[in-house]
Amino acid sequence: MIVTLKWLKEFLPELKLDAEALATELSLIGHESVVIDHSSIDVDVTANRGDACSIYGLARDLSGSTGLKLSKLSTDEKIETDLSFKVSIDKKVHDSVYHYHLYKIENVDSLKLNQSITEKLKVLGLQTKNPIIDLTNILSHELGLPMHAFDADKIKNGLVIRESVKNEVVTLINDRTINLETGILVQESEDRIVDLVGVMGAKNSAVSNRTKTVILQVAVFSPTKVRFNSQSTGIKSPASWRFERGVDPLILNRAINRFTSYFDPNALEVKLVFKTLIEKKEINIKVDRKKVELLIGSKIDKLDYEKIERIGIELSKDTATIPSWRYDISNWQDIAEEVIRLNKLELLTEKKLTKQTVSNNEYESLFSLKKQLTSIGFSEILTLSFSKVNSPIEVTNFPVAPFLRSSLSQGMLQSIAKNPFMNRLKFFEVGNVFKPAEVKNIGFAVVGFKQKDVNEIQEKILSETGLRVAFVSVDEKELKTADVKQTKVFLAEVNLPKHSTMANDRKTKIADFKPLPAYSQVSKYPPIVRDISLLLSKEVGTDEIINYFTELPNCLIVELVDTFGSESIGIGNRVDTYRLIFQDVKTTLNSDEVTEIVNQGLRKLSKNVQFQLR
Amino acid sequence: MVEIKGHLHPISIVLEQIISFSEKYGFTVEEGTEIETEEYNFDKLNVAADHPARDDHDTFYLQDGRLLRTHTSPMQLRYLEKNSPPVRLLVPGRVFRNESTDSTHNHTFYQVEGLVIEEGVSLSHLTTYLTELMNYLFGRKMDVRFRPSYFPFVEPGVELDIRSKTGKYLEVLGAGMVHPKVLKNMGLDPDKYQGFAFGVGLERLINLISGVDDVRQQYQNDYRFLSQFK
Repeated sequence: MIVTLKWLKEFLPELKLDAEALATELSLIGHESVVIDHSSIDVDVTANRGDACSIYGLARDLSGSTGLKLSKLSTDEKIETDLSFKVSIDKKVHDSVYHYHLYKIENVDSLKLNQSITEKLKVLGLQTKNPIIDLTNILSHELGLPMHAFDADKIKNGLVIRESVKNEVVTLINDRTINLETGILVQESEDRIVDLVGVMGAKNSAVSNRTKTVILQVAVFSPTKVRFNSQSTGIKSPASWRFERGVDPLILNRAINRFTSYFDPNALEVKLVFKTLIEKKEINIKVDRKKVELLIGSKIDKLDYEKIERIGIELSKDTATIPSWRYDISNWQDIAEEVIRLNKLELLTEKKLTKQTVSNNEYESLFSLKKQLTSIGFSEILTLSFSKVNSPIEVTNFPVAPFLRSSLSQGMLQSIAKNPFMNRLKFFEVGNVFKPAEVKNIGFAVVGFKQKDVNEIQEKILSETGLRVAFVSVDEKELKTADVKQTKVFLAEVNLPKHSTMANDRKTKIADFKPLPAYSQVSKYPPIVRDISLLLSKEVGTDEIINYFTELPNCLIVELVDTFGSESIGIGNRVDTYRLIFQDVKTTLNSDEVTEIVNQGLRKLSKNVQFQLR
Repeated sequence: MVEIKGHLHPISIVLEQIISFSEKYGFTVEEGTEIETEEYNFDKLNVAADHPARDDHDTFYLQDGRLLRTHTSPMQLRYLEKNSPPVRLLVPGRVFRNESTDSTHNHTFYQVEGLVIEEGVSLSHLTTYLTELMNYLFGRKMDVRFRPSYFPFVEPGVELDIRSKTGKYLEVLGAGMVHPKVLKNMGLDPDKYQGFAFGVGLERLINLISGVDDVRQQYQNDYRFLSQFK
């Protein structure tokens, strides 16, 4: 919701905050705001605050937290009454019409406003239509009450407020023709529907430049009923946005008074021609201040409760009387929230939970398992639960991939396809699959290894983790379908039993905590991967070599992918294979360029470290 | 001895960090199911179908009427069916929102839910706990602020922001005191029990701590992404 400083000042004349400070103040009392420019901000009103869906409502809330004087709206009943208009409200919908007034405005074609409303229309992004329509739009934003104007000649024999019957049709002012379901709240006149209540009026009775007399509806309807209207028809409007959140049923007088204030008092011929009576229901809530303080947890001194009085909540020693515009307050916890938010959350003091011990065996087993797998060279992936592959569980509203996966294999293949530049991969994933029962599986993929090596890996998994898996080769056709470029691909998958292994691994992890590292953006251009094998003396540290290579230009990642020693290369030696991944965020790298970078790097390295290139 | 190590997914890493921090305070870890019912995902959490707050939870529905959970909060209810206060609970898990995807929104993401219900726990305990958690995860004292906010299952509701290096406040997570209606649905008398709850998106945390700027990367598994995390 867009709010300008100028508009806000009409209700908070002493407001001195600039846009930045205003956005901060509103954010700190519960209305998250961002600055648009030096004169306006955009406020995100939460779904429970119908009272704040207007300039006036936000001004009122600000007067609560800042103490600034609020220019209140006049409640005088000074409009002439002539209750001659016929409105019949069907018994069935009686409870959905909270309060309803109709005003007749004559000679609208010669109406003149006493002030310019161009700026306000600009804030709303609207073109001027005529004074009446312009004002209904402006006042919706200004006061939070959406009004609707009818051309009086089009609803001559009165209005009926009722529920629709299935297949009734209406063409709205936005030119859309809607086929109605049963139960939608509508207004009818002269045997046709003239209004989709709370959402949008119909074209057949809309005010135009030819209109001579207007019937202005100033009314408040039930939030759930308007929401039903909006959901059933798929139509949203600034009016429905407000009604759904709850409009003050007692605002009608204030609203019509504000409306008339835009005209010279002598130039406007307006009469009240229909009204419903409203019982002023007082809602009182018992508030135990001790309980409020226990909930908040910090000491709040007596002065601070005054702030909620400024926004209309009357507080006696142990009772709060809730104003008509607050649909969201129904218990003392809501009052506690009002107290703390207007006083700002920064007032809260430090309160620590007690230290306690706990054992999370299941989680610890799973985490241990993952760590064991990384220690034998596997990297963890996470893939999506949705699948194009037919499975027992279907999602009704996700046509792109309407099934819930019954296996991790599709995701595995897609992840391999995402890494065509890696000739060797070892992936695992722990995730829920649906068979149709929801169970936790663990899947494995090894890429670029011969069957003999895969068998060894399978044995290693068993000896390190106790998991018995059986790798199966994926055939060429399936690889092609999955767009996998590599040729030697083996997958395995088993249901994950609930472990009860020792969690030694985890306890060491807590000791060496480091925050997540700063991330280097992955280039959208393909990388170049080079594996470099070096024969080194056992005294040379791997980290030293890795650090060295990491410094090379365009080198994103350096990893040790293999190491071995044997008698044939000498007891004091080993052969390390390092994988270097080169990328450029701006362009595709040239293979020759990379070769040159690597060669230069090796030349430099040879000055400090003894090695033989394999 | 040289070890050739693979990599844990950053989601698992940050989850482990949250859990190991919270275990000092005795938090139990429980997982719920990804498939849930309307009743546990919405109705019993005070998210009424006819209230506009429901619009924030665009939902994936299954043929049989069940749905994919839009948050990990349903487990709060299920856990309290089998356990009595005092309770300190963490629920990590995958959640789903039927939203269009872009660099900051995905239909699939990870949340960790926290719930504490015990005598004397207050909003101040919540803010203290979350501040400490942020300092821990970022590895330094963070400029943290709390703002009032709205979620149907808490009252008061708050959001936590951290100040970025550019000075802007960035939203991290939502939290609040468990709503009396939810306490009632847990079989607890709201006049005797109170508690706090929070929910944090792990991709969001990874974005803020590490600078990973596209949430969709978490599920693409590009090795250049995975291998940056240890």
